[in-house]
Amino acid sequence: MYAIVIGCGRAGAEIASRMCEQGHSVVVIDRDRAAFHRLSDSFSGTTIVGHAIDEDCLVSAGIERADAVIATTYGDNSNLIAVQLARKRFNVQRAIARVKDSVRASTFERLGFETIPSTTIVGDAFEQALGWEPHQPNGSPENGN
Amino acid sequence: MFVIIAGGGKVGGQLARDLLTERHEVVVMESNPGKARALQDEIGDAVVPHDASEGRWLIDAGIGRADLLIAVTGDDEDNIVICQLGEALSEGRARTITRINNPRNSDTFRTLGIEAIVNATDLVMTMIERDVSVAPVVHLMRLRSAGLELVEMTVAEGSAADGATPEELRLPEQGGRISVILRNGEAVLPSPTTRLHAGDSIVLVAQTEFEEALGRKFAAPTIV
Repeated sequence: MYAIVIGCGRAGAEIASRMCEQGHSVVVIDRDRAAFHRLSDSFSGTTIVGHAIDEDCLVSAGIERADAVIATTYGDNSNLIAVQLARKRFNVQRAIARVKDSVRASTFERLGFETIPSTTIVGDAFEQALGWEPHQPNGSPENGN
Repeated sequence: MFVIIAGGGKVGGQLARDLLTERHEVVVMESNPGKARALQDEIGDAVVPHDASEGRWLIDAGIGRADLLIAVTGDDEDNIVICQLGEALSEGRARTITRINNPRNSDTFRTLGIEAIVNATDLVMTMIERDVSVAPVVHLMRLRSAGLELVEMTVAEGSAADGATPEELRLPEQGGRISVILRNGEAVLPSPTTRLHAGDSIVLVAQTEFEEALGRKFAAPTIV
């Protein structure tokens, strides 16, 4: 698989390194060159300094032949724009955005985009660790007042 | 009309004042505490000191019953996602309008199927600078429900529009009317003798069915 990982924070570096360990080709994009130090020794892919929604940058990262785009920056909105571009502009098969805001995550899921709702996932994990019943999500406009 | 404005900077603040003067119901969402407080001192309860792209705050602000959502934060990505989120959370009820801060992004956003984007920095600011009430903006948005669209097009080199006046261009009678020309970052109100140039952006009100025909007037000639 040829994958582009956008954002080289802890999560981005983790998934990029894991993908390399699995034998995939990986390009990591980050605005800040210093962020690449987070990549583990097992990382064998390439790195590009650039912005998540800059089409030139995405093209130079090879998005036109990418099988997957993984958007992991700290900005939910940048990630959501990146996956929309990947899907609509470049016809990338899999494009997944890390989205911290759970309402935004579920809304864009409904619109047909893949998200990793990180806050919900962490909440669920804590709940499970405490042995509690799974949480029922709310947050639609009707019951939000 | 109930209007939510995302972003309480210069543009958002001024829009809020104007809309309140026109007796519309307004909520301004501004995540910067200092900016939010300054605006609160002036217009009070109408300010929600939170990020509009944070779903729960947009719901709290009343997106479920909003007629219009105007996204004018300083960040293009935020503006787009705020509009998409607002449209989804209001189940398509709220009309959305945003601005592009960086013109380089306009193609990108058009690709995403976001049509009702006006390069509104110039448009809105000019309206404010010329002391034109924002009512025309609202009015235009209302018109859209009658099959009219607010469209922005760029004049391509060698197109029918390049070098022509609005009159010479002979836009379809009911098809479209040029509202504003955006040229070198400035908004020009067109007269019948104003000549259009390649690179100008034209904001016009067009009937949806004429949009394609209009597009051909502004597109570069195809070489066969």
